[in-house]
Amino acid sequence: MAKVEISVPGALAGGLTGLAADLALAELTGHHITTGLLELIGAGIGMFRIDRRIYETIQDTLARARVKEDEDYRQVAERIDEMTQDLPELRETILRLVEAGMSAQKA
Amino acid sequence: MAFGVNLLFRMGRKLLAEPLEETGLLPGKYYRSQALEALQDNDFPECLRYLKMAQAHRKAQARLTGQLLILRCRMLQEHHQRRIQTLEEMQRLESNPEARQRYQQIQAEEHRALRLLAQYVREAQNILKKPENPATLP
Repeated sequence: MAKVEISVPGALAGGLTGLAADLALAELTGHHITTGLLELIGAGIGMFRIDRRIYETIQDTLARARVKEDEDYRQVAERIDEMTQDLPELRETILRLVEAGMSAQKA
Repeated sequence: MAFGVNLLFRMGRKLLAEPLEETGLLPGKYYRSQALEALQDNDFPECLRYLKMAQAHRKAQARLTGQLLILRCRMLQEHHQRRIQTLEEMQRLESNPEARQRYQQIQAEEHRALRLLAQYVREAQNILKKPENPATLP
């Protein structure tokens, strides 16, 4: 395998050129292109996990609905039942979560 | 790693995505993702703004996010109602006029919070109630 030559002045020159290009683009367009591109990657990562994040948010919401520490999912679900009368999709999802929680408790 | 990406995400959003957001040209998934993030941060006005752009009535993920927002607001309304009841009771038992005045001030803030939450619920309901396909309606 050929030995890799590393040039410190070359790396510095490359870094400075990149920085200058980024600054010039930021001056011209008013946006930081590098961070913008990384932002889009970040947005992509977030976007691919929406279902999982919704599930986590529902769990977090159920946890917030607890008034006492020792309450289980079913008691919490009963309390929020009235609040979800007109929210059919959420109601169904919470019901499924409660059933899954009860099955896990039994197992 | 995750922290770094998240930080870049927030920074970059301010610089690149935000100016484009208002145009509505970004993919619907982007708006749904942002609405969910705003909800996770308890930023209800921001969540509503993104839900409007995500056309929440059309996609199940966005509808669920909107319904979660309504549920969270209702839970908070219940919490504030309990606080108002406690404050009324404390005010009734309090003889010191300064303390009573302080309780009244807090109560006024609690009522303000209730009004705001009710407004968020109404807005979310309006977003979610839009017809699935307006073109087919008479």
